[in-house]
Amino acid sequence: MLPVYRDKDTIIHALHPLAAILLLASLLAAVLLLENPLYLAVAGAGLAALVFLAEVSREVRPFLRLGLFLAFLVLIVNPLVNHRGDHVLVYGPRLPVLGRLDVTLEALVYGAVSGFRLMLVVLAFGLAGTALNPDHLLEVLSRISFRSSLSAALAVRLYPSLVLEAREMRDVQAVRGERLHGGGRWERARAQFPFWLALFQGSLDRAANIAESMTARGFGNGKVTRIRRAFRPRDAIFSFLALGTMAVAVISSIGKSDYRYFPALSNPLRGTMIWVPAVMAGSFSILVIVGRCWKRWPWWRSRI
Amino acid sequence: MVTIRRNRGELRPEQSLAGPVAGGARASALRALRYLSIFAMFFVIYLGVRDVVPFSRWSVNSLLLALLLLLVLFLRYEEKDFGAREVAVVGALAAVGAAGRVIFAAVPGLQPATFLVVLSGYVLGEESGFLVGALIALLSNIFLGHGPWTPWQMVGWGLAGFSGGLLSRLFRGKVRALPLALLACVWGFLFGWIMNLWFWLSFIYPLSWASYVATCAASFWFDLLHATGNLAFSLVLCRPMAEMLLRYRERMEFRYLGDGEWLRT
Repeated sequence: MLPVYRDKDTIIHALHPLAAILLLASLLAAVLLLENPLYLAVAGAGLAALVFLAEVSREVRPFLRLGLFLAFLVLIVNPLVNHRGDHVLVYGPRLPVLGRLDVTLEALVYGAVSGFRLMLVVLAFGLAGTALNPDHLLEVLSRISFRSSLSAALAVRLYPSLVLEAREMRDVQAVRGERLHGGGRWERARAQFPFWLALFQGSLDRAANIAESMTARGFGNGKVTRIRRAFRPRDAIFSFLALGTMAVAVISSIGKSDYRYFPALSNPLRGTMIWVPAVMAGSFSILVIVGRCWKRWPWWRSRI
Repeated sequence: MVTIRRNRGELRPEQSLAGPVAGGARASALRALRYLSIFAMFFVIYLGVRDVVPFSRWSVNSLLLALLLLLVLFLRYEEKDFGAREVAVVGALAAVGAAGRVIFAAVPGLQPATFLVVLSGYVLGEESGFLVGALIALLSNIFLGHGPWTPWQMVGWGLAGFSGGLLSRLFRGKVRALPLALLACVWGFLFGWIMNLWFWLSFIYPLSWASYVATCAASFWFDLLHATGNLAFSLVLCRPMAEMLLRYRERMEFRYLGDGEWLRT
């Protein structure tokens, strides 16, 4: 189980859901589109700065571990299936399907950078999962798809009561002498089935009750009321910089900064678009400064 | 089934129990948006094949495609204009599936959610099945961790639910345990292959059949466990759960009677 959202007094937690989504999208665009490892490292540093700004460095640690594990997998798989590159490090045996298992320096570096990229993507989702309120994100979704987001909201609300009910049922089963943990595999599995059926039945009954009360309250009768969240200057600043970062990532992927891994590694410092990491670093720095000032100065907080 | 007599001046059916019917402009707008999304999907594929940057980056391209496919299916659900009972039962089933997934998270590959999704699609229809699947991924990942895999899991389970609905059409809604179990078993592998597709497109180079087969081979035992688990869950739980769902559907079903029709019933 990974840490979930907790309300905190930071600018990231206080963002308008639309600005928060833009911020996440810009991080993903930067991480997925940038090929040059140097630019990717700048995007990673920016992401780390946002994690500290959101004060969720402890919460995202499990995401970091998960990302490292996945990055390791990518690092292992890539040199096994990719034998391109001029610099062969190890001459391997020939295997069916995979071919000759030569390990090249280029494939190894590509695997390492891809792994790093995957770790950053996981970290970005970790930041979103721990610092962005899921209820607020559902609100945005409800504007596009009202019924599905209502179902999602109901599921989110039903989940804790379902877990509580499951725990109570487990207690009852234990009191009745059913062996839930000990005994043979078959005995344990057999004890599971009535539990799942009862849980399923209970949730359907609850759904019927909810449907009745929704109907009684006039569901679908007239316009839907919505909470209007003010789009404050801080949201405008974050949205503007997020869009800027996204545009820079797209331009970089279109332009000549395209870094090449094969047949030989290019020099990451050589390129006509060295302004790309500079612009990104500038954007992230402004976000951090705005966020720190928001935290420290009540006057600034009241203004934005 | 409950029959309700409707007099003149009472609420129209679309205003009361069944929820609003998306008529006129709203329905047209939803349909237009859905067709636009389908067109955008093909356009994104075209740009990717034509090597137009940034669409030629398959990590970005595939993510866009997954999101567009989800949008298309969500809009299809929205177009159906389901009432309170469907909205509530989809939420409840998603919560059960998410709980099951979180509880079984310790056993890699074993996912009771897949069987539940296929069954939901079979009994409640393609759209509801899709939504149950998509919401299970969305909700359970709040606890298990959201990541770049979330849209793909939503697509995988959503399509599993959708296929359940299609299978039900084949058997005209009658519950058949064996075909359901087989479909759930097949989805054990298909789900794994969809997840591998994401991993392969985003982080493996070069994109060749050999590298995809190698990626699938790495996950074979997990997929096998998933498929076997689905088969076992389906064979044991299919009938009682399907009966419960059918009972729910029947309990909440109603039909409006026209003027004087109640005298004839």
